[in-house]
Amino acid sequence: MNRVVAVVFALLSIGVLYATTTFRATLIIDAYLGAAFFPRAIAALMLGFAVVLWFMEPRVQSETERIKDCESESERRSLRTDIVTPIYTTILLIAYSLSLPYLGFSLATSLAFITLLALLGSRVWWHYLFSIVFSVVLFYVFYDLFRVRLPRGVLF
Amino acid sequence: MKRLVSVLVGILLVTALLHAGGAAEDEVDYPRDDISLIVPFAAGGGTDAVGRALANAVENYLEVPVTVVNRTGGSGAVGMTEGATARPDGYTLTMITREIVSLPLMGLADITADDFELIRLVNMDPALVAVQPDSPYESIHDLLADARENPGDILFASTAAPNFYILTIENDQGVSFNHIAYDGAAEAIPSVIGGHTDFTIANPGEMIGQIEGGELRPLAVMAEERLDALPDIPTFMEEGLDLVSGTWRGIAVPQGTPAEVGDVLEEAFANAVADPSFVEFMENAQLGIHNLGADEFRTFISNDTEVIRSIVDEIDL
Amino acid sequence: MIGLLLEGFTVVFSISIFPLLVTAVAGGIIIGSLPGLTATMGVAVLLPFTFGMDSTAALVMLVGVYIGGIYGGSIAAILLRTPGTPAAAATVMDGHALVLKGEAGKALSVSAISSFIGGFISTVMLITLSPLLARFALRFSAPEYFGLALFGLTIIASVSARNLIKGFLGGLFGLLIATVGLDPVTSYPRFTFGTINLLQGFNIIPVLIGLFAISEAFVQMESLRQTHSNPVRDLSARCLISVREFIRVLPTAVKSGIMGTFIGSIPGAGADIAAFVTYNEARRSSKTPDEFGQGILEGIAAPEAGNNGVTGGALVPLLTLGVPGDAVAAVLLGALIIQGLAPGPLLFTRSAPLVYGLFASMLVANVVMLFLGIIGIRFYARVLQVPKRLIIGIIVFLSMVGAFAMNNSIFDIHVAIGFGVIGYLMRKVDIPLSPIVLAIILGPMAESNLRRAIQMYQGSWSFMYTRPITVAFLVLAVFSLVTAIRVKQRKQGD
Repeated sequence: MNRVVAVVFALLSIGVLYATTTFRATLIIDAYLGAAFFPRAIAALMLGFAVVLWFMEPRVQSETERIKDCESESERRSLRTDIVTPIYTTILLIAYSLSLPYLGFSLATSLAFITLLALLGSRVWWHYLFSIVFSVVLFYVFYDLFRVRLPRGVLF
Repeated sequence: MKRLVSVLVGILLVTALLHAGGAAEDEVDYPRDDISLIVPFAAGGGTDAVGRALANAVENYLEVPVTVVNRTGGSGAVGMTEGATARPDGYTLTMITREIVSLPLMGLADITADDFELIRLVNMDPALVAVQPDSPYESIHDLLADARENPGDILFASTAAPNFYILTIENDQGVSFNHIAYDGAAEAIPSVIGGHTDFTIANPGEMIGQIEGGELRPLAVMAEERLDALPDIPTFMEEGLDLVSGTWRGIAVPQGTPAEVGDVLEEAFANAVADPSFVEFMENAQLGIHNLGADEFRTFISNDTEVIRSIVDEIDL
Repeated sequence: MIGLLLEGFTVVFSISIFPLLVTAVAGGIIIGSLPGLTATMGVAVLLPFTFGMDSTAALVMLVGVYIGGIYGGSIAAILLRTPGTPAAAATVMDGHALVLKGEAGKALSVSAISSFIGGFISTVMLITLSPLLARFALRFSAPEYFGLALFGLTIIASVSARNLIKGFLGGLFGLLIATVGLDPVTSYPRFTFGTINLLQGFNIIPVLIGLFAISEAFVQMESLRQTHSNPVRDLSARCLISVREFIRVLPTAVKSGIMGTFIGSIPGAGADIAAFVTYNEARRSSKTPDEFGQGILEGIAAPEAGNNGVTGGALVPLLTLGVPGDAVAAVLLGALIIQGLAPGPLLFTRSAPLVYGLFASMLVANVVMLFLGIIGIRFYARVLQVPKRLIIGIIVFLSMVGAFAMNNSIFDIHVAIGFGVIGYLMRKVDIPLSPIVLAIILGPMAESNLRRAIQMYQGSWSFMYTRPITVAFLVLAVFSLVTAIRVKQRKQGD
């Protein structure tokens, strides 16, 4: 697992290093460090630590194992457990955010909340009722009380 | 997962339908609904204060609630782009600032003032040069003379990068300062008070408290006339420098807004700017009222565009 | 001065002001405790309401929300592992660990008491030492800010509980995130991928919401299907800390409150930085540093006293110099301007009754906060009894509102979702989240001030050893790194 992490961070830092070479000069000239210095320094350090992580893996693994004791069991189990719900939730949330400007906050949130509850396997009827009340109340609290212009949608 | 799929399909369908049907709007009587005023800077700043005071004043004339919406980011680019691309129905107004001229010239925004239907110029604040009270510079000429002798050595606390006030001076006088870029006047001013930089240029409203309290000493103002609040401080003109510069804020709606809507708004804002409560607020905050109608506003912007374009061309050689 | 203060108290306790203050503090606690709604935002959304008010009422209301909001952030941080505000991100570590041990009541009461101690000390220092603190703050120039930021970044080592390398990687990731947007000096748009939404960089609020709140919701979803129940459920939240425990954490709280005041008085350094710095200091000076992160009371007392300590400190530059000390103070500055008052050195002489009314209301607001905090504990703890599926939904959709509200932006909702996924993956591979947040907060401060300093010294790095405060911070930074690594080695040795 650690080696995967090391590779991901190494790739990220290489990408950043490459991107900094495409930085163009702007109207304002920074005669000393320039816009690319800081990202480059960070990326270089990141690459270094990623390499260390790659090679340290066996030792690190044993260290964590010793410290974690009982905690590690539940963590390890959760590594394998159902990653499906978070994935579906992510898709749901993206669809929700895209529909917000059209459906308006109350409707979109009610629908998304109900879908989420179904996704999580809730069988309690008042949970569903609550989600609608929650969405509507939240909208009015923010829109009228805090004057936050939540999307109202095209319908209302 | 069936349920999820069906709901998602449902959401998409409704979305598509509403998108198709939402275009037509009837403009017979305006305004009928709440109006949003986009302020492209954060709550608590100068632009925000003007926007809120103005929204408060104009509500009485438009007879609907006018809500300030802060859309910050990219030195105003985010909020102004959103304002320019909003539905042109008069329900989304934008507070435009000098950045609408400078950002596109620097290639940092895709919109220009031409993407807006201008309503009214509201406020203009001249640039004021200030130093620490025990600074050796007694006048703007002392500062310039020292800059000529030691080019690039005098530390200028810049409130934004690039800073067009200092560039105007540098280009005209052939001097150069060492620009230290700060994030706004709130950071630049303490650096001058603390003696870490030599001078700064900001608007009167941002420095009046420190000036009156003896923490800062103004040298000259880049305006045509002296400031009411600082009658002893000469203008650049009086000092023999033909330089006027400042920042400004106005109201605009997206290009394509019906002319009748524009007329309603122009009149309402004309009244709001003259409203005693607004005038009092602006005086208290040391913000200058500069009240121009749509046509004059357009000329004003094209003049300012020329000024900034010449600076940009100069440094872009 | 005492006379003016007493006059201030009579105003605060008047029939028209006191209920407003209590409501404001309560409202602030609620706003702060909701993920995404920060004290800054609470004060900002209330700003328009102060138009029609008289100046004392306006300031009392805003200050009440400020003090309540900074405290409120810790409630959600402790109970739900989702910090309500960036300032509460440091409280998550030990606060939530205590809840898992079944000591929610203890965690909440330490948080309320420490917040009170920090806020009260800070206000007293504001009243008595303002000019001194202002002079201290004015000595900070770019090199000093850089030193402070660098020292702050070394705290990554001490909050990376299990694996130093992964902590550093997380921190570097955060630093990278912080470089997105217009370069502070040259205005070059870095890593913005051509979208104007990223010109100002990632907004800290949606990032924080994603990393903590949404990723926490994801983690909670997983365990829904697991057979073993959540250990938190069956434990009473009623037991508060004992007198002995109170005496134990008192020195930490007092020290952190004083440190928080100093940090707050430096313009540009706010409650979030104070919380991490005081946490680090408490851990460094502790006899049992390896217990930090496992649910030690000092691990809550320090950041809570530290972040509330900022409330008074942040007003020092505002009242003495007319420049805001942090984002909330910037909004308060706007409020003063709207009221027609020019903040600055003359405010004390010109509007003394107002200033002392403000001081009095801050003292009272801290007492009100303590009171509401303690009697509220059993209500807050009810959150743990809400059915898990419902609480997941509530967290998720409050997060959506919170991400949207700061900037009225759908884009920020996408940022929150994106960082939710990133945070979830990070937790899967055991990369701690606190270093990421710390780096996002401190990264821009470190970079812009390093570049300013080099610009001031025209290319020379000599400021690193010629300026005493800078040197002190650099020494502290090395010290903090060494201590953290030592602790780690000792742990390994056991």
